Amino acid sequence: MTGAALKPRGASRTGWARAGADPVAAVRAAEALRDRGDILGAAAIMAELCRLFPHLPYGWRERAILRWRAGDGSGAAHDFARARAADPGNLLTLVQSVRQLAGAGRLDEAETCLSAFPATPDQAGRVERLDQLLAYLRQHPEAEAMRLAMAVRSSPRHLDTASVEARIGAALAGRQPFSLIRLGDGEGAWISDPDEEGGRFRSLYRRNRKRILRTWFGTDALIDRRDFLDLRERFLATIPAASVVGVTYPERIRHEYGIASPDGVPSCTNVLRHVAPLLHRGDTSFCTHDIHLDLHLSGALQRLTTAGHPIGLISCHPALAAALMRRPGIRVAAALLVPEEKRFAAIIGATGMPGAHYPDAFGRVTTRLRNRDWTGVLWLVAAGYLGKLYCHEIAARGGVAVDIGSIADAWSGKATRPGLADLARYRLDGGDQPGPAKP
Amino acid sequence: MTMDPATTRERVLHGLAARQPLDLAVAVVTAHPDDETIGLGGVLVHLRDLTLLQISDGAPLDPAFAANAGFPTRRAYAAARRGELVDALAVLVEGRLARQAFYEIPDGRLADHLAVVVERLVEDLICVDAVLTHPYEGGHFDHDAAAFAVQEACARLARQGSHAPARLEFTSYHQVNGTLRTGRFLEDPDLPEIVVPLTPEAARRKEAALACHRSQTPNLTLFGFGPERFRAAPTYDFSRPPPGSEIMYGREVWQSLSRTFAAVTGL
Repeated sequence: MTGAALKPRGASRTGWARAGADPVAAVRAAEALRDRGDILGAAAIMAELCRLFPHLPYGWRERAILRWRAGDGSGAAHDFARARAADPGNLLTLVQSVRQLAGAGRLDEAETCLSAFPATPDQAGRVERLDQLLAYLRQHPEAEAMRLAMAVRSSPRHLDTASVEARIGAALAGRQPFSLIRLGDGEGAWISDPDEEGGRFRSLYRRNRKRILRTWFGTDALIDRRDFLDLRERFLATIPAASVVGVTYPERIRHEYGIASPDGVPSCTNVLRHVAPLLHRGDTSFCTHDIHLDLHLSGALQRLTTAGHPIGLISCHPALAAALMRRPGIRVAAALLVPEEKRFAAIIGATGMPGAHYPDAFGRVTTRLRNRDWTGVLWLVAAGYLGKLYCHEIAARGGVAVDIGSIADAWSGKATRPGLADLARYRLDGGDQPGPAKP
Repeated sequence: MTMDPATTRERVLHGLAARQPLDLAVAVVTAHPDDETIGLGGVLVHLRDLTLLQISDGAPLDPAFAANAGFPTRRAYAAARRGELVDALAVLVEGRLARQAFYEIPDGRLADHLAVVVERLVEDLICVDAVLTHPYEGGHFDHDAAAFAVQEACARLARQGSHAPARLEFTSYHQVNGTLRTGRFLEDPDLPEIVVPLTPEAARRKEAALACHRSQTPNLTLFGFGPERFRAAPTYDFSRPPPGSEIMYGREVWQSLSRTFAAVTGL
């Protein structure tokens, strides 16, 4: 059922009429309208539904979600309370209620709400993770995360896009090793330590690790595997060794805390907690986590790749190296393939690479990287979490490694992330990109 | 920076001769399903970073071939040959491939799609250190077309200044003095070859893999379990017939093939 199915058939507001006849269909119609951005249309249906069927929890819940999205926090809390009253044992309502209250900074009310929930044994895990999320929010409130994000942003070591481009260019010109890595949600999930503070956030962290493992490899079987856990230590070592580290920024922190995201909050904040000490030691520089997009949109990647330096590429796109090579002024010195992230397999399409990135392909790529000296080569690395280790290996062998992430997908015409929806902006040929900015 | 092709070739040949695991990225480009088993079934297991590029689907356009093999359609025949290849690879490398790509050109029509094949090979071969394919020897026109396509793709990569893999060859078949020869190269004193006798385990593996290519059983009886041979691929002059060999598919077909080679080279 979609909103289109409820388009007027004689009546101008069929959704209202349908709410009286079929409440479930009305909710679905409202959801469809909401997803199309017609918040008012969806709200009209839900208001009528709640008037006609005040005993139905899902009407209140959906109305609460609409209000939450519209920024009406107190209205949302009121409607969530009605939904909980109508069905006290509904887990989905509980999760949404708790996150809404927590996102509004009302942690006491969120905890009260959670403690009143009559959890069944099969709901206990989810409830425990919610409890740990609230504990995390108390321990690491938005103000702390924001302070860390601002400390990074305002640090003299924070580089804007032009400065990052200049640093990469200087490393190539001077034949010096260089590594730019970006730490996003996935890296944050593996920076987070389940044993931290006596395992106080263990369930939450493990759930986030499992989720990201399924995204990367299609399974969470690696969650407790010794070799993969050992890899974490190598990953952590790449961070202080990197020339530039891309981390999350204050606007993203606000978003994650605003929705009390169970994965976004601890992942982003733990990345910041982990890198904050580097602001005062070593010589690592910082930039925004979205630097890959900025390097493309500013034309920096275009300029760097056509400056005459040989290019290396690690990606899951078999045709991308040749596509790069066909661009004027680009010489591809090496191209290594890794299996795609399984969550995006349908978007990326067949690559001919069976299995997951870890362990087999990881071992092959690492071996190939270790066989050569990469001095003077500009490596574009699009290989997720394991890609940070590749960047480290490349820099250790004299090369210049830039973590380009999903830009490789966009260059291949694959919109794997919401931010890449407008693929025309991310064409490999760069379109009408601006000239270099002054650092 | 990147390893030079001569060093790579030596490492591949040395690894194959010693039957030692080879961690270089090696592509095997074959014209038909079963060529991989015939040419290098005994050593594939040692290629730890193996990409298989299968150019034809093994089913000719003429439906009579499918019917003779017991299949109702060409597509069914092609599907069966794909399945046989998958089974054979499970035996030869226990399914452990870095990558496999099927170009799905109809059997016998490689020359008609040569420009596309060369471009796809450019895309795929830039990702490997070395490539093994058929020699140019007048045995089967698809084999000769594959030899041309690999040489041309590597030449394009090199001309552009990008990485081009080292080229090597495995044996297929050809005819000398009216006699069919399998498992041997046309002799060329300038092209030393390595000879890798099959160990009992390799012979067992190869026999089992050949048995997987069920639809080809009558043809495969021509190929024994002698040593496998490999050598560096020369730079062939495809405007001339292969030296020292008879053209099994006829001079007229070769002339047509040669014109296609010239046209693709000029692109």
